[in-house]
Formats: sequence, C-alpha cells, structure tokens
Amino acid sequence: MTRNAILLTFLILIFHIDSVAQSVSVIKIISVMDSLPIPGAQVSIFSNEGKLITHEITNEIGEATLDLSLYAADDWLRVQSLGHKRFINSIASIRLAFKDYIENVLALEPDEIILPEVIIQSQAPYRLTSDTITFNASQYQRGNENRLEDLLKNIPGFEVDENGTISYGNKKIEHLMIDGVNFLDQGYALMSKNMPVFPISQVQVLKRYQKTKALKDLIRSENIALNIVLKDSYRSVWFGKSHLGISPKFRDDWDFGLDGMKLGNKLKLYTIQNYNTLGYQYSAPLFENWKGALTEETSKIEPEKSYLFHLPKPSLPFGLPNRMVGNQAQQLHTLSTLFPIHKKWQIKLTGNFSNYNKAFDHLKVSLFDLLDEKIEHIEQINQESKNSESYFSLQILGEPSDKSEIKFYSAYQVEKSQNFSDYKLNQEGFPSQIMRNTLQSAHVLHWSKRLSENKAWMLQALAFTKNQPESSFLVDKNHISENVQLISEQFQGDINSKWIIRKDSRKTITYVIGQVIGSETLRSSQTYRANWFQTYLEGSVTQKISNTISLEGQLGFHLYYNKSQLTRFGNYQSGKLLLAEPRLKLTKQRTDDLHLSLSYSQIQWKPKLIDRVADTIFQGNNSWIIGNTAKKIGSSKIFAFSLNKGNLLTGNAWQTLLYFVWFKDILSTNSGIEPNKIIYEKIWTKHPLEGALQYQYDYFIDILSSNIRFNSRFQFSKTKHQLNGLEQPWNKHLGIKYGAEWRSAFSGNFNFHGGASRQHTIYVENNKRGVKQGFKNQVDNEYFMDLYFQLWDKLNISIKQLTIHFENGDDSRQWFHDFGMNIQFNPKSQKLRWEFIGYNLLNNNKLNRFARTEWGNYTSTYIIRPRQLLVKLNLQI
Amino acid sequence: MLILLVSNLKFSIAIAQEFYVMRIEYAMQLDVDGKKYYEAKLYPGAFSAFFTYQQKLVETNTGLLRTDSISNSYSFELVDTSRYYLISDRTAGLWRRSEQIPGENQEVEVEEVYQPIKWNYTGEEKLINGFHCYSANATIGGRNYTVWYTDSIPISFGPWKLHDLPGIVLEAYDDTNEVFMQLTRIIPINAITLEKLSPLNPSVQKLSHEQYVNKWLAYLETMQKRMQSRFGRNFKVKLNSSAIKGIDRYDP
Repeated sequence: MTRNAILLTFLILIFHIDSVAQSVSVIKIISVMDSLPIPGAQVSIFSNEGKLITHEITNEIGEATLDLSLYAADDWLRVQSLGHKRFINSIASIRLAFKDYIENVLALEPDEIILPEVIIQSQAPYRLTSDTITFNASQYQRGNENRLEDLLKNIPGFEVDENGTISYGNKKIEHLMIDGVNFLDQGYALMSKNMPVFPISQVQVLKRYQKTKALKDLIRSENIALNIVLKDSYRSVWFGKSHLGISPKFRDDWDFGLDGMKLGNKLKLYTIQNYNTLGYQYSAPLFENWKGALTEETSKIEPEKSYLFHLPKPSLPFGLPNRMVGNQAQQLHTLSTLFPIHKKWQIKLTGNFSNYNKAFDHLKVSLFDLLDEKIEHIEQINQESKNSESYFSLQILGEPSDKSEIKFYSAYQVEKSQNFSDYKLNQEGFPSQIMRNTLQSAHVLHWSKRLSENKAWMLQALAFTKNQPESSFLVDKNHISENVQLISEQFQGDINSKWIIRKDSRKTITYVIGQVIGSETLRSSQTYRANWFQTYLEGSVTQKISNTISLEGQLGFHLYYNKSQLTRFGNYQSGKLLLAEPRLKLTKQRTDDLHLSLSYSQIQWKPKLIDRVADTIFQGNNSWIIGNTAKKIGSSKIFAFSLNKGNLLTGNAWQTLLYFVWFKDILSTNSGIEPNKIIYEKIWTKHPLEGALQYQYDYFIDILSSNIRFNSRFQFSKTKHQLNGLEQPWNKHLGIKYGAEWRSAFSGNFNFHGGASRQHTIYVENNKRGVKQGFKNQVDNEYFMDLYFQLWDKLNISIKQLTIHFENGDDSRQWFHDFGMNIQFNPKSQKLRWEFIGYNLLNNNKLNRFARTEWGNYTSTYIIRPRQLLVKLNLQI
Repeated sequence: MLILLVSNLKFSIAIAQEFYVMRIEYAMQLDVDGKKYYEAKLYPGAFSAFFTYQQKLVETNTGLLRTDSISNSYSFELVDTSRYYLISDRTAGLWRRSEQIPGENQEVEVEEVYQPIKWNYTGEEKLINGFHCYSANATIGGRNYTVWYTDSIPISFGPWKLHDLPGIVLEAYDDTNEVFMQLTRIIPINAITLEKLSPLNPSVQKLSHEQYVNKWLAYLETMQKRMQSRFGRNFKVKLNSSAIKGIDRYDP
C-alpha cells in the first residue's frame, strides 16, 4: 500500500466512515500481469446517454483523481490504455466494488492489440504536388458558407476582394475552372460570387498555369489558375440553389437568387438569376477581360466600385441641404453553356445582363484672394448614375490534333450609363446630365501548335471595335445651355504571331521571335482620324550563368507607319520610323546583403528614316498649305549601374544608383519651310537642320538607419542644339537635393512621420544665337509632418501637412500649404471614410500676387445601413 | 501491419527512459506571415510526448527571387529548413520546445509550465476515414482550437500542445484558420527513447517563456523601426499586428 493511499484511506475513515465508496478520490490503475501501475491510462465518466462528462489521465504512479459521489449511479466509468482490455462499468457497480476496500485499485487485463498502419491520405486537408495544391473542401467548411467566395475565405492563403477577384498568396487568380472547364475566362468573379458550396469536393490551385497547351513546359508561366472539382454525385445532374429574402421592416428591401448548373458529358450549362434592392453586387464585369483571357495578359481595367447609401447623411457645413439616396437596385441574369459540335470541336456561349446604380456626393469650398478681391465659391455635387451592361460571346474551340489548338472568340457588349449631377453653386442649383451608350465588339483567332519538345509557334489575330456616342447637358451659372453630342468609333486590330524555340543544355537558353502587325482607326464626328501600322521583329536570349548571375540580351527591329488627319482643320501627318533596339543586362544577385546590377540598352533610329509632315491651315476664306519633309536621325543610349548593400529585413542598408542617358534627336527638313506662329505676316524661316544632343547623369545615394532616412541626389544634364547646321553652346542644368526623414516606431496609439528636404537647382541657358540668356538659381524647401492616431482598433485618424516654399533667383516666391485629414471607421464591415482636404497657395511675386484657398469634404464611401434581418428561404437541390 | 504486445513494454518514471512505440504523422499548415506547410511527427508515450515538425519545401528556389534595382522592389521567399521540437513532460509539468530567436542564429530551448487543458466537449460527432470522431474546444497558446478525436485509439497526447483528450486527435484547427493539423498516418515503430529521437545539446541556452517573449518583442520593435524608416512619405506602411504569431500566438 502506498503512503498516499494509506493517508487517503485514513482521512476517509476519519471523516466519512459511513460512505467510503461514495467519495472515492483516487483510483489506481494497475496491470493484472505484473501489478505495476499504468501511467497515461484514460479514466472517463459518461452519462447514461453516452455523453462524456469528465476525463482524467493517470499519473506516473497510475493514479487518477475522481470524486465518484458527483456522478449519478447510472453513469458509466471507462478505463482504457493502449495494450490493455478496456474496462467499463456503471458508477453504482464501482461504488459497490470499492466499498470493502480501502485502496481503490482497478486492474486491467493485458490485450494483444493489433495496431494497423493507418494511412489517412484521402482526408488530408491539402495535398501538394509540384505545381498543384489540392484542398479538400469539406475540411474547410464551417457550415455557414453560402457562395464559393465564402469557402475560399476559410482556406488559408486565399483572399477574395469585394469585386469577387480571388488571390492566392497575394497573387491574382487568372482563371477559374469547374472540373477543368473554363466557363467565363477572366470574368470568373461571377462564379466566385454565386456558385454554391455544397457540390464542391476539392479546390485546386494550379501554379504556372499555361493556358496554351502548345507552350506548356516551354514557356514558364507565372499565372495561377483555380480548378473546382465537383463531388461525383453532382456530375451530369442538375443542381443549384435559390434564395428569397424580404425585410419585415422595410418592405422594399428584398433579395432573390436562382442558380442552376449541369455539367454533363455533352452539355455543360450554368445559369444565374439575381434581383435585389439591397445593393448586393452579384454581377461582375465580363467583357473588359476578353483580351487578358486570350493573350495571357493581366487585364488592367478595374471594375468601378459601387457606393451604397442606406442611412440619411449627416448635415454638411454651411447648412447646405442633403438629398437622401435610396437603396440601389441590382439585377443579374446570365447563362453560360458549353457543348460539342464534333469530336474535336466545342462551342461556348455566354449571355449576360446586369444592371446597377450608384451615387456619391462631395462638398468643395474655394476662396480666392486676387489683388484684394475676395471670391467665395461653394460647390456641392450629388451625383447618381444608372448603368446596365448586356454581353454576349461565342467561342469555337477546337483541337485538331493532340499538339495543336484553335480558338475563335467573338463578343459583343452594349453598355449604357446615365450620370446625373446636381451642382450647388453659391447655393443655386444647376443640373447636368451625361448619357453614354457604348457598343463594343472583340474578335480573336488563336492558333498554336507544338512542333517538337523545344519548338512551338503561335498565331493570334485580335480585332476590337468601339462605338461610343455621348451626349451631355449642362446648365452653368450663366445659364448657358449646351447640348453636345460626340460620336466616336474605334477599330483596333492586331495580328500577333510568335515563334518560340527553347534550347535546354546545362544552362537554359530561350529564344523568342515575335511579330505584330496591327492597325487602329479612330473616327469621330468632326475631330480626328488616325491610322497606324506597326510591325516588329525581336529576339531575346537569356543565359543563366549561375543561380545568382544572369545575362539577358535582346535585339528588336520595329517599323512604324502612321497617318493621322484632323478633319475640321485639315491637318495631316504621316510618318515612318524604323528602330533597332539592342539591350543587354547583367545582374548578379546575392541573397544575403549585396546586389549588383549592370544594364545597357540602346535605341537606334536608322539614318534614312523619313518623317513627313504636311499642314493645312484654314483662316477665314484664305488658306495656306505648308509642307515639310523631314529626315529624322536619332538614337538613345542608357547605361545604369546599381549597387545595394544590406537588405530591408536584416539591418541597415545603403544603395547607390548611377544612371547615364545619352540622347540624340536631329530633324532635318528638306523643303526647309516652317510657318511662323503669326501666320498673317507670312514670315517663313528655314530650319534645314535642327536637333538636340543631350547627356544626363543621375546619381542617387540612400542611407537607411533604424528610423531615420537620409537621401541625396545629384543630377547633371547638358543639352546642345543645332540650328541651321551649326552647333549651339551647351545648356546646362545642375541639381542637388538632400533631405532627411524621421519616423516613430509605429507601435503605439500615436505615431508620427516628419521630414524636410532642400533642393538647389542651377540653370545656365543660352538662346538660339548662343547668347547667354540667364543664370537661374532656384531653391525649393519642403517640410512635412504626418500624425497618426489610433483611437481603438476600428477608428483611425491621420492628419497630414505639407509645406513647400519656392524661392527663385528672379524674386519669385511661393508658399504652398497642404492639409489633409482622414478618418476611417471599421473598413471591413460598416464603412465610414471621411476625408477633409484643403490647401492654401500664396504667390508673393511682385507682379502676380494672389492667394488661393480650397478645401473639400469628401464622403465618397459612406455608411451602410446595418444589415437588415431578412426572412430568408434557402433551397438547395 | 505490425503486431505489438504493448503490455510487455516497461515504462519508467524518468522521461529519458520512456519508450515510444508509435509515430503519428500530421500534415500541418500555418498561415501566419504567409502560408507554410509542415510535416509533423508525434511520438506519444505514457507520460510524455515528443513532437517534431519541419517546413515542407514546395519550391526548389529559395532566397531572393527577384530584385529590380531601378524601382527598388525586392521579393523574398525565406524558407526555414530547421526542424523544431516540443517535448511535453507531464511528470515534470513542463513543455520544452526548440525555438530560434529572430535575428540570432542561435537555437534556444524554451521552458513553459505544462498547463492541464480544460476541454469543452461539444457532443458533436462525425466520421473521419472510418473513425468515429468527437469534437472538443479549448484555448491553447492564445488560439481557440476545435479538435476532432477518436476514443478508439486511447492516446492522450495530441499534436503540438493539444493533449489530455480521451483519444487520438485526427483533425485540429483554430478559429482564425491560421493553424490546421490533420492526421495522415499512424505507424507502429520499434521502441525508441527520447535520447535517440532528439539528441539534446546540453549546452543549448535555456530560456523561460517570459524571457523568450521579451526577446521577441525587442526584436519586433527593432524591425518595425527599421522597416518604417525605409519608406518614403508616399508609401503607406501597414502593420497588421504586433502579436507574436507562430503555432502559438501571444498578444503582448
């Protein structure tokens, strides 16, 4: 008997002599085989319904502390340990068994257990292969996911912005596929905002996704694609979801959605219907992404944000009235299908209609003080717009052989927008209205073929048309009404072909030869017409010498031809230009603290190039035709050397950059006539040879310490002109700038960032006759101070101030004060962003003295009314 | 498949003499300061457990990926190839884990008091790969965990510090989705001691948990100042959090 057991038994006997078993505190678990204690055994008590009530683990001497009197007689005690038979009995039985013993010992029988090697591969939350990460959707569901973006937000590494654009590891997803089917190309946000979660089995991130099969493993793509793998039970059957929500409080608040999907072997179809008055954006732009989708380029066009106003706006200063903007109606109807027309050919059809409204307002106050005359100008703008977009696309996709691919794509979009602004000018109302209807179409032919392991070619022809009639109506202060209608049509087309040859040896060498032939026409009712044509040929070699040193070489020849005409005035221009563009860059990168880069590039215009200009000037009933034929000679050379020591993560650092530019541009006019600006006097001057030669030399030094930054820049350039074939004296420019910044550690509730810099600039300029025109010394001083207050997690206030003082040699002085205040409140959910911006400019020149003050109060993103409680019905099939 | 007669194993009180007879492998995912994947192994004993984890390399290239000297942009991918461990010593009431103080190349061992975990058994059940699993919640190391365990394999040690459950942990995640652990494999092994598993360096510097946190804070403060000073006025520098985030999370 152990000492503890004796002591415990003694205490129990003294104080609870009648109820020994009811207050058992220590249970000792031993092995029947050798009577040794079993440490780590699990002692659990379950309710009669099988629910775990408490759980203890035996210590190193096999003891667990449990007060059995706390549990009902029909509860159960379970003891288990690996390698022993499980013991289980009711509390009543245990109490009875322990009653006659002063030490409460349970002995477990040994058990020869069979412990199989268990592999739980299929249920792992993610799986990694070289270029694919597979996430099991069920592992990341918490039960409240409604749309695909909700699921993705649960998976570490994914981010979905408010437009439905998905990023993984801070990199934008370029394509979203469902079971390998790319329905919407880069317009996939429609999917992420609508697709239900329940049919999803896996989410796959495909790194280095190469959409063009012929280029796979030949050109390293940095694109990332997402593939949604459906559960087997949802393949080839109809499924979808529907929801209907109505606010009991605000009857005009409602939300309806119906999604249906079928991914059969032959027909693949996806339809989305949504209508709501809450401002929820289920729609996403489709057309603007067409080019990016087919040429593997990232679209740079960002969709506009919508502004939602649900709360009455607070009063603005000066007692100006506010106008309530109501709920914003959103509509979306879309249908996407993909079906085969032959063994190797498929058709993809997409139709989409979306409709949304938006509104914003701002207040601007300006004060002028011009020669002691004060003018006050107060402007309040409430602006609303109504937008609709209809989109239709047809794609024909074919794979004539395993190694070749043909895609034809044709898309049309009609976009209508109506903007209405209600200006308040000196508290008088004047409306303005702009209507714009745009018809766009895009047509693409893509043909690619893999020739061998290291060779491929690709041909792309792109055509784009745009027709944009625009009309505007404006009434200003002087009651001048104007109704202008501008119609412009644009056609742009490219035929883009590429031959790609890659050679693999110990080092990797890649050659790319490309060619583009294109033209563009811009026509509008009375203004401008232009045609251009460009072709280029280029090749590049990248030699990776080691992991840290690489050498890049590129040679390109470009031929441009353009012709433009200003129809109203009859001016027209045409030109041809051939460029040779060799580039060479040597980089050496060190991962620790030293980085060296050396680059050289040159652009050379061929001497025989001709740039012809012919001008026609109308003046009343008279007209003059002035013609120039010019020969253009030029070249530019850029040499850059940079050295960086240290890195931002591990310690102090400095960097230096030397930049040298040599530029030569000489225009020789053969006919030698050029109009003087005063055309009535009919004075003509000859400029047989005019041009410029310019050298520029820049040197930067940055020194970075813990929270102080010093920077300096030394800049020198000189420019030499030629006039009538004679070289003119050099014009020189010397600039020195230096400054320092000081920042707090940005760790508390208050932080600051301040700095000052000073720039000296000296100009020495000559006129065309070589006479020294002036020596100018200019000094610019700049001071700034930013203050940041973080009142609590959700409210930030920042105040920024900037003062610039110019002082020139000609007694010109200006002071510029800039002030900004920004308040942000919980930007993730309830958005309040209020900005106050103002500036004051004091011009103190002798002859031109004025002061101007302007400030604005912007509330472009506003409070959203707290989400209404909707009586909502969700259906899933 | 291996047949084990576990009852024949003799457990000793001293942790150094404890034998581990199985290896439980977990796939671990951390999403603090970028997503990282780890291979983790747990060797559970009767009163101690040895847990070790190492970052799984996906890319072959590491280090400085791209530097553009003109625009002054840098892109780093730092891969930590160290293997870390956590020894849970229930007898001594200690957690001992290997750590690396940032900014110092020296490895240290941090000692922390083993806190018995108060699990809240939710009563929720689900099947994971044929195992009947139960759910429980607890706050451990600054994170609110949900675990799914099965009592059909009575092992009271789980991955990291997720111990004292009535069975083996098959799945665990925290409410921020920053930590995710999933059992992938259970392998019976020949009995092995802690000394064989992890030859501990007796000269390694030992720190208390508080000392370690203080070192971290000092480093963070220095780094913040350095980073902030490197950006000009027009750059917006955003510090997401000053919390020390690893598998455990400490909000200073």
